[in-house]
Amino acid sequence: MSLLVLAVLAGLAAGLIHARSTHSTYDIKDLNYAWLVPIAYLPQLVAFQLPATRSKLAAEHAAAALVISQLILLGFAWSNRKQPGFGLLGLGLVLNLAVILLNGGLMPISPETAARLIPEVSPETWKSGNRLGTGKDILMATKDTRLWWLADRFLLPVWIPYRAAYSIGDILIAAGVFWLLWSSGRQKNRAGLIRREI
Amino acid sequence: MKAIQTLTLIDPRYVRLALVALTMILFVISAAAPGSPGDVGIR
Repeated sequence: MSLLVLAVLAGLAAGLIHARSTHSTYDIKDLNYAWLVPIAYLPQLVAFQLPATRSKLAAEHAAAALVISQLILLGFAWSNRKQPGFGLLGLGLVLNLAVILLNGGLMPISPETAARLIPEVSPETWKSGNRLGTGKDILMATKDTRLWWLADRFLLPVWIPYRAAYSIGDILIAAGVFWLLWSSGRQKNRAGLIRREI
Repeated sequence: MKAIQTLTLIDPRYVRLALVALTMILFVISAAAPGSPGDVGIR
């Protein structure tokens, strides 16, 4: 399971525990235009998830799918900007989109980072300009990467049984989602609440 | 019939909680772009 999904579940658990421990209520508000999220996911499903389509799609089409999807998500984030955490995750989204757009439509990762991430594969395999398999990343030398500091360049500690290369934007997105779900446990009694019994 | 009865017993607030959680899971999967060994078929 992705650590980003874990951030959602951890935020939810932290919010519920906080609500219970403070005899407060868990107040989760409806999200505006939530239907935009599954719509934004569809191009990525075709470009990066479904085995039948992802390997057949040209890099430029995969890039277009990613950019279109992220623009839709940006609209969703903007329409919910008054909700807690959305400022942070919106900023993460903008940073990811900036580095993606300035580098041809996919998230750059350096061959050195790819070699550290996947040591099973010979380092010579990682050639600039190639995609990292069928994912959202493209191999690009750091010196050729615009806004290289926003690219996928952080690796998780080795003791975590999951390997991934993250960007600053990814970290902000995870933090924003955690904040949104955790802060819902800090609300006091209001209409339409989930009571602390849960 | 039993399934329908169970569904109608679910508090709408729980449904809302589940929907928001699912929406945000889909959001992070789509919004973030981490590279992983799974991209090249290594688990």
